Amino acid sequence: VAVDPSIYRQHFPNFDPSQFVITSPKSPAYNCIAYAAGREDMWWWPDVMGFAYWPPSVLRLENLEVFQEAFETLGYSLCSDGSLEDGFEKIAIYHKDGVPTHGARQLENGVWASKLGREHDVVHGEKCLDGEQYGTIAFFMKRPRTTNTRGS
Amino acid sequence: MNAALKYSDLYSYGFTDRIGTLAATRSTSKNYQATRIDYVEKFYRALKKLAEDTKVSSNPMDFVKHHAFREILSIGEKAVPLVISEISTRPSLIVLALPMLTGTNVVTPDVQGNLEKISSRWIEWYRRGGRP
Repeated sequence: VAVDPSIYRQHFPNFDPSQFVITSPKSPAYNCIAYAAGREDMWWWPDVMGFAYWPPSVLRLENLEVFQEAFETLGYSLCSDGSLEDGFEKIAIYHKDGVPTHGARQLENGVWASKLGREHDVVHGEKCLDGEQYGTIAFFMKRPRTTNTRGS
Repeated sequence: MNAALKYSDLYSYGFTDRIGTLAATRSTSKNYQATRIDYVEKFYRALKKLAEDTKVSSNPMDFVKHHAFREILSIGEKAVPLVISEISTRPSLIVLALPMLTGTNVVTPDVQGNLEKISSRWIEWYRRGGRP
């Protein structure tokens, strides 16, 4: 049964039904940062409880520098924007007041894909998730796209 | 005056009578003492609130910092079987309450991030009577 994406309107004031599609069932098995990193079988987060996975070489702190370093371990480097570039895949890290809140990845056709907490995977416009919940995009990173760069 | 328990709320969050039998009503007389039904009801009410308020958050700390999570912790060790029941039904971040409720932790680096494996570890720990 198709799920009406407007269930997310309350969370995202920039919600645009023409740019927002639910692409998976709900799953608590992974979160947005894992999804941006190409994993759909685990949680990525530098939580102090040690619940989630975090690259062992990177500090478990909730700040933007640490999230940048985590994605550098996957071969990403900072880039200026989220435009589609031939041969590159990009991720975006969101923040509120300097605290990371969300991650998204760009698909080959240029649209953005996210896992929304413990809920659905969605594809969305670059600005669709801006707002009180996730804040805004803090930075973009990119790496050369290969044929099988995703772990799942 | 009796207050009816909303069974639909409990069952919608996976509660079954394998935890124990619930009475459907409770007395509010001046001699009333807290019973099992009070904390079970409190647990599932808090869990429902927690799940709803944090569902689009990817930060496990948002879950732990929520006032409903603290309500669950306030139940104390009596909440442990309820958490185990919940994670036996479906993987859930409520597993994060177990280290705080029990004072122990079964998460090792090889299972970090894997909610299903972490839940399995805790279920096994509980079956062994709460021993390592």
